[in-house]
Order: sequence, then C-alpha cells, then structure tokens
Amino acid sequence: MKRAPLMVVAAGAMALVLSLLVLPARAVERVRVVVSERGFDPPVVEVTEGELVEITFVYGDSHLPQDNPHVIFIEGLGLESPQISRARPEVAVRVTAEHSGRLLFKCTAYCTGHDRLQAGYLRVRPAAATGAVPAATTRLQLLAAPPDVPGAKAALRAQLSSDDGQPVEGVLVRFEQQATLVKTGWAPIGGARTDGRGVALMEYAPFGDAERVPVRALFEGTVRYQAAQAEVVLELPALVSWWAPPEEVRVPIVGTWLLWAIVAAVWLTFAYALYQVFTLPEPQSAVPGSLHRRRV
Amino acid sequence: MSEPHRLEAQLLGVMARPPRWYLFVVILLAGTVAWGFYAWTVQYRIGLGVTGLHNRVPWGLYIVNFVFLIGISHAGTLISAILRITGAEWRRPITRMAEVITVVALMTGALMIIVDMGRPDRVLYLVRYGFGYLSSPIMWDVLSVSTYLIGSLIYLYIPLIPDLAVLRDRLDPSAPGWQRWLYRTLAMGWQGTLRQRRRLERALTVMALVIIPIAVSVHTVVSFVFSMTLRVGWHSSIFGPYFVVGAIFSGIAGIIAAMAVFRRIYRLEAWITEEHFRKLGWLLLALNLIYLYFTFSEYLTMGYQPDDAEAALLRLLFTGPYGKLFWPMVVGGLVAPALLAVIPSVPALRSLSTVPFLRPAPVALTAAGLLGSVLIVRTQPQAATLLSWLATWETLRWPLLGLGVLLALSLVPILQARRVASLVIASVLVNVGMWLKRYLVVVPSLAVAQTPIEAIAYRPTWVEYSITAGTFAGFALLYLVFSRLFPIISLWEVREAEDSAIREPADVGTRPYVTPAGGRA
Repeated sequence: MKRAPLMVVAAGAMALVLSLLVLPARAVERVRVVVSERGFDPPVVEVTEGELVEITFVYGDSHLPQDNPHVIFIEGLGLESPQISRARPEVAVRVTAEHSGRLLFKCTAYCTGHDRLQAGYLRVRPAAATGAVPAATTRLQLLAAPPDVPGAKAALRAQLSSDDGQPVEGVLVRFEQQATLVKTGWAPIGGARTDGRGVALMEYAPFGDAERVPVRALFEGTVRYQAAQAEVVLELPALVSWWAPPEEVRVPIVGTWLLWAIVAAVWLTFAYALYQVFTLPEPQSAVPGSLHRRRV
Repeated sequence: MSEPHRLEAQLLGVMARPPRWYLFVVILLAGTVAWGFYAWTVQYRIGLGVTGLHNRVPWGLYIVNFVFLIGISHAGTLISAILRITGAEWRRPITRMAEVITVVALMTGALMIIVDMGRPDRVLYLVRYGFGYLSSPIMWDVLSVSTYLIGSLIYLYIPLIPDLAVLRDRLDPSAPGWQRWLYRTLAMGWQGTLRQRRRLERALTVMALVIIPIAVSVHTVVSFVFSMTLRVGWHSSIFGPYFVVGAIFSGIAGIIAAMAVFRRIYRLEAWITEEHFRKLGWLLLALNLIYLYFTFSEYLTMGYQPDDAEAALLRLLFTGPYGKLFWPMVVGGLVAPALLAVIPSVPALRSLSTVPFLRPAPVALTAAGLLGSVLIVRTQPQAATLLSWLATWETLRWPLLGLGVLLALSLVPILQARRVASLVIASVLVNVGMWLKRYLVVVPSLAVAQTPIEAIAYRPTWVEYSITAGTFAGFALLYLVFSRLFPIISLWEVREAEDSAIREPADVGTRPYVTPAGGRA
C-alpha cells in the first residue's frame, strides 16, 4: 500500500512519455529575419499556408553608434512584434498564415533606414503544393467573465484544440457580439491569436442596452484544421440610473430640431435669392436705363 | 449697343485670345490632374493600403488638404460678403476672384473627403444613415460644407448675371454655339432695368448676409471634428475661433496671390492697383497677429502643466521628428509674413542699402559658397580631407544661419520699394505655412503613442502625393478655365463705381481704386 503513490507517479510519467512519443507534435517552421537600417535580410520569407511559423526578428544595427529600435507590423495578420533594440536583439512571433498569398511586413517605428524597411514580404505557399494532410476537427471553448459594474470591460477566453486534445497555436479567433444597430445581427468586436496553450484572450466593453448579451468566438479554419465556433451569453449587471450614459453631452432632441430649423431657414434664404434671379427676365427686351449704356 | 468699357474690351480680348502659354499651362495642369486620377484608381482598386495611412494614423494628407482648402474658401466670404456689407468700395475689382476661389476650393476640398473614405459609394451611407445621427460632428460638417458650397455657387452666380449679359451681347460671332447658348441661358434676360437691378441687389444683399454665418460655421464645424475627440492636441475649446481665424488668414493670402497672378498675366495693373495690395496687406497682418496670438496661447496652455500625452506631443512638435516642419511653419509661415507685410510701410528701412556688408549679391555668394562646400564634402568623400572639419554642417551651421539673416536683411531695402512683391512672397509663405500647420494639427496628435511600447510613424506614399498634386492642379485648372469663360473682374461693379464716382466728384475715396491709370482722375 505504501508503494501505491509511487506507482501512480510512475504510471503518470510513463503515460506522459508515451503520449509525447505517440502523439504527433505540431511542426513549427522557423525563419530568421535580420532587421537593420539596410532593410530586411532576407526581404522575402516563404512559409506554408496553414502551418505554424515562428519568425524571429533579429536586430542588425549593432554597428550604428546609436540604438535604432524597430517594431515590425505584419499586415494582413494584424500582428505587431515587440520592439527590437540593442537591449532586446531578438524577438520571436508565432503565427499561422491562414491563406496563401503575399503579406507585407514593415517597420512602424521612427528609425534610421525607415524607408528601406517598408517592403518585407511573407510569401505564403498554397498547402496543396506541399502535400497537406486532411484537416483535423477542432473544438472551441468560450468562457466569458462579465464586468463587475456597467460600462467596465468583460473578459473573453477562447481555447482551441484539435480532436486529439492538442492546442492549436497561432491562429486567429474572432469575437462577435449580438447587437441591434440598424438591424439585429452579429457585430465584430475584435480578434486575438491563440498562444501556445491554444488560448485567445480579449477584453472589451459590451455595448447596447441589453442585460443578456450573446457573444461568440469563431475560428474560420485552415487547411490543417476545420472551422469551429462557440457561443455564450454574457449576463451584464443591471443599469441603475446614476450609471446611465451621459446623454447630456449629445445634442438633445430639441437641439436636433433646432439644427434642422436653422438649416431649413438657410436653404429657404437660398431659394428666395434664386427666386429673385428667376424672375429677372423682362417681358420686353429693349428697356431704357440699361447698365450697359455709358451714362457719362 | 453701347461703347465697350476699357476694362470690358481688355478682359473680353484676353478671353477671346488667351496668351500663348495658356494652352501649355492647361495641358500641364490637366496632365497632373490625370496623374492624380490614375493614382486614385490605384487606391480604389487595391484599397487604402496603398497609402501611408494605417490603424494608428487614419488621417493624413487627404484630411490636411481638406482643412486647408476649406480654409482658403473663406477668401470669398471675407472679400466679397463682409466688404460688400460694410460698403468698402475698393473691393469691387477683386470680389469675383475671391468668390471663384471659394467655389473652387470647396469643390476640391469636399472631394478630399470622398478620396479619404476609400470607397466613394460610402458617401451614400451619409445620406442613408447619417441624417439620423445629427449628434455627430461629422454630420454637422457634411451639412455645413454642402450648404456653403451651394450658397457660394449662388453667390458667385448672382453678381455674374450682368456680366453674362455683356458676354451674350458682345460675343464674337464666330464663337461656338454652346458658348452662345451658355451665356444666353445664364444671363436670365438681363437688360439692366431698374426692376432687374433692384432684384439683383436684393438677392445679393440677402446672400451676403447669410453666407457670412455659414462660412464661420463651416470652419468652426471642421474644428469640432477634431475638438470633440478626446485626443491630445485636439480636445481644445480654442479650436473653433483658431480655425476660423486661420481660414480667413489663408483666404486673404490666397486672394493676394491670385490678384498678383491675374494682374500680371492679364495686364490689369490699372484696375488692381497697389492700393488693393496695401489694404489687403493690412488685413493679412491683422489676421497674422491674431493667429500668432492664438498659436502662442494654444501651446502655452498645453505646455505649462502638460500631462504625459501632451508632453509627448510637444516633444514631437518642438524637438522631435515634426520639429523640422513646426519651426519653419512658425518662422516662415507666421513671423516672416508679418515682417514682409510691415516692411513696405517703413521707409526708414531703405537706409539698410547703405550698409556695406548688406549687399545682397556678396552675402548670397558667400552663403552659396559655404553651402556648396558642405554639399561637396557630404557627397564627395574623397574631397573630405583638409576641409572635413572646416566644412561640416555642424561647424558651419551658425555661420550659415548668420549669413541667412544677413541675406534676409540685405533684401529688406529691395522689398521695401516693392510692396506687391513683398506681399506676394508673404502670401505664398502664409499658404505654405498654413498647409504645414494643418499637417501639424492632424498627424502628430495621431502619432502620439497610446500605449508605452508603440512607436507610430506616418509617411505619405506616392499615391497620396499624386492625388494631392492632382487636387491642387485641379484647383488651378478650374480657376484658369473659369477665367477663360467668364470675366475675372466684375465688369458691372467696376463700371457702377466709376459712374457713382463721376456723379459724386467730392467722394474721392472711391475713385482711385476704379479709375484706370492715366484715365479720368
């Protein structure tokens, strides 16, 4: 009996080792891009559609007398790197390019050589060309922590995993809230990329007057993983009168009517002036007192 | 048909047979407009991603151009409406130029908003959804700018009617049919009868009265788009009057520049006299000083006890990357024009020409020599041996600055004797400075980081520069085409003033401004 805990620990360790051996770990493509005042090296990086890629941006301006920090923004993925500088010469971002094509990355910092750092490209090869495996099914779990007080932010946590329980990393999860603006529908509220645990986090302030707000998370799928979505209902704290939005800062209804009345008055004045113009023609043509005659 | 007035004969002559360079300039401007249009098609096809705009700096050159052009449009209101109501007779030869500036600037300025939207079809959204949300300053903008444009068009058209009748009656028989039809239709059967003149005066007075508050509201509302936003540098109660004063300031500068151009190319020295420049020069100076006062007040208030964001903005403007625009704007766009407006009225400054080391040519030559040696050393490394220390920018910065001041001083006696030249230079500087000022209002506030780690930059792309060039070329082209089709000086108003001056010989105040040089005086 005394050996029982030891047996449990040993069995657990064995299961862990076996799972690491049996379950296929997701491959990560790794690329390095040197960022310097001379530009990106290499300027074009090739990755595969739907594959997780780790891009390491390396600071290449050590030869300069002064520090020359850079921040790299990958358009299309909406991803911005932390600042690369002498103090932090390497930063890595992990991302999955969902679609094939060409994505621009550029430096958004004030830096020496800024103009040469506006045209780096992520060339995303179609997965078919590299012989992709069939897409695995995925599971998306959404948890929503409502705000404590009206107007504060709610926290959304979406966890994406494959059917074999492995987290799906570096993919975009979009969040939407059901809202009534012109009509009722799903309004986008933002998106976040999953981290190493497959978790995408987002904070946002729920809008609208409803106390029960449906919120959903959407994963559109890639060539490797199938799409998934999850929905929860946020229970918002009830509005009390002193928490009401400050309507007085907006033009009140009376003010709106006043505004329309002023605009209408101005346009009526225009109409009056044009009326004077349109009634200019005389019934007869030759009339004495013409301005065209010299009266000298 | 009565004898044509001298101004009539001259203007109609130029309109019928424009100078040789006219076609060349029109082609040049039309080419620039076409290039700008091509750039816009690229933006339309690919999206706003081809511009330097991004999620941190969503407003750039397009909004700068919009604010600038709306500002210029205040020329017509001031020169024409305010001076008409206050009975300033000297305004008569220049009212038309000012009114045309207003209409053309509003047309091109409003276009900038559509360009900035990226998708022009979304203008319809403003109509479909926007009018339900009048609490939005953007909708106030839409209402006031469109109202101002329509009002300005009417206000341009009404005083044009008697001149259209002149064109109708005196049109060359060989003129094309469409031109004949255009003048006949727009002249509204004008014969100059007492009844017609009364109606015209009534319409003009009503429009002059109503257009002034609209003009003030337009630039106030443009400023509200900024000041209603909780953004550093924008959220300021002074913005309404600050923008209105800036608009009238750049509008006056615009009209001075237009006057000088048309006076020169159409030989209108007899009607647009130095006296017009002198009076507008004083107006320009007054507005310049008020604008300087507002600018000082704005930055002092912000900088006296700044919070983090305000301190960051001031650093960007004063010593940061926008300093190279801010200080030229202050010195070149505000201080120098004020001096240039005063210089022609201080005869004592002519004595500077007697100072030996203030001869323009030697000073300019010395400055050019030093600047040239710096350029040689910077561009030709092999020449940077003995001169490498002597001729570096750091060493020569202050001597060059001193020479620049000497050069400016040496030009003072020349400008003192040339009021028109001095004011034209001041006007160009004002407009460049006011464009820079609008850039410095729009972009640096957006470039202030909202989080500790981000660093934001905005660099306009060729698409934005091309569309900007196309816009300003379009402005000039429309102006030039207007001056080819319609008299750029109000013929009937000038003649009316002459007639009243003849009837009332004691009223000498009106005569010098309307009497041709060498004519009746």
